[in-house]
Amino acid sequence: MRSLSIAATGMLAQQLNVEVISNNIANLNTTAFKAQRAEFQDLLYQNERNVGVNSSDSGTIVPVGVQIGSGVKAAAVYRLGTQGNLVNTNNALDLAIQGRGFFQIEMPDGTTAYTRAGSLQLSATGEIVTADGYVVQPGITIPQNTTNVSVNPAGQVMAQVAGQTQPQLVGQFQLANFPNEAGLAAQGSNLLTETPASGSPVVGNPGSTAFGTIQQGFLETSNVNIVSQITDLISAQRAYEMNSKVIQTSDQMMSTLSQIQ
Amino acid sequence: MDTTTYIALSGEAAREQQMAVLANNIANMSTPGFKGERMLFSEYLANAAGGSQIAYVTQAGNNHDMSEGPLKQTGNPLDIALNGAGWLAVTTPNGTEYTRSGHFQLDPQGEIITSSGYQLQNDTGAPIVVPADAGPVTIGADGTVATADGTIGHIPVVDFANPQLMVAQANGLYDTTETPQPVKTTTIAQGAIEDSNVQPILAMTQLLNAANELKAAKTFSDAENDRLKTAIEQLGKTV
Repeated sequence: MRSLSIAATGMLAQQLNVEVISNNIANLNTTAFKAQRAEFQDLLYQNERNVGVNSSDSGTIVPVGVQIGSGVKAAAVYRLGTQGNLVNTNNALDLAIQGRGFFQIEMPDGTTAYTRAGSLQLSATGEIVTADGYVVQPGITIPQNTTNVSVNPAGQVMAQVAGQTQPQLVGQFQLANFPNEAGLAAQGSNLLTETPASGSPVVGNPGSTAFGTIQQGFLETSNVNIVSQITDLISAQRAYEMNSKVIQTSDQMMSTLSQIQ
Repeated sequence: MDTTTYIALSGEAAREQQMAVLANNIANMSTPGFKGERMLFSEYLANAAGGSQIAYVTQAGNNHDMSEGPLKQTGNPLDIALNGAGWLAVTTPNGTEYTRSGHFQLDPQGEIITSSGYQLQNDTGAPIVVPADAGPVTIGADGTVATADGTIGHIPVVDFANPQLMVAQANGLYDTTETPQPVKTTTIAQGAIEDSNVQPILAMTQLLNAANELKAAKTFSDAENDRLKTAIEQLGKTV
């Protein structure tokens, strides 16, 4: 019975759906986390009777064919790129990006990763680093004896050093944009990396055309909408149950058949 | 010849096929833009001895349930749902095919593509390119694609004289030999996708029906078996 394997593809798909939803819910409070969605597509069809073929010499055609589908597959699990809410933390090194763009992070192996999670820290040498200690490019060092750091929406970092009257410009944050943000590969720890699907990064100053601005003292929350996640979870569970019902019914039909005397 | 058993067999084979169609509908309950299939059966008449006719059941075809699925908000600016009849045209290696599965994304060149990588067509059949430095994309109800810098393209909605002639090609795509006609009345909703139009309750009742009909056919062939057995016993008895 084909219906057994077809229903199995349905159960596998819903299982993946629940996995994606549970990861979204688990990351409800992850800074700048982007919710993911599983997208499904139908599998190949078996044409048992072709539509549109001639059904007689006088040119009449078959109006509907017989096509039997073979189930469902996951086509993509994609990230929703919508902006998360900005929450005020009053921490000088909490930076939220309002609009498009990613911070560029220098990984220990020399490659560049991208993130929107702006909860930044200072290293022992005064460099601005991520919570994992990776340098935010271009490396910005805050001088010693700095009493106050301010970052303006255009990404300029000003340090007020004790004993000086004027704040001093110590660096400029730059953001990277991608033609296809959904094509970036997630690496965990809020980091994303470039892929052939994402295209090459376009680097620019915050606030310039197509780039977002930087909000100091704010963090971007995850864009997970808990209400829609829970409703999606319920419908995924029901869909899973119905596919299992198909398996059960197919099994019952097979047992009916095997009892034919 | 023992035709009675074959009649019951034709019924059982038909139920097996119907189960496959129902299982596929249920498996695709969360597939965006999926159109449920309905199995149609017809009788196949055969002449039997004595001038009577015997009716077998045979597959006539399955038609697409072309009703609209519910719209589901996703918030993704490149998700589009069609509100009304019609199809979106995409360029595939097999030529132009049509879909109502509304999740699109950008490729590295900025072209709007499906999740299988096929380009969404504009009015002339060319891909729609979103410039890399453009801001957010807005898609109007009439299909106009624009960024803050102005219009960058138009998504046409097309329909066909007889959508039943469309052949499902997997990945949410349909192919047809008919000529596409532009539709003006159908609007496009941005940030939403059309969910599968499979009605779970209906699908479950059809499932139970198929199982019960199979049981009926089985009871019938069992009864026929008893009848034959009795006939052989009775007629073969030596007086």
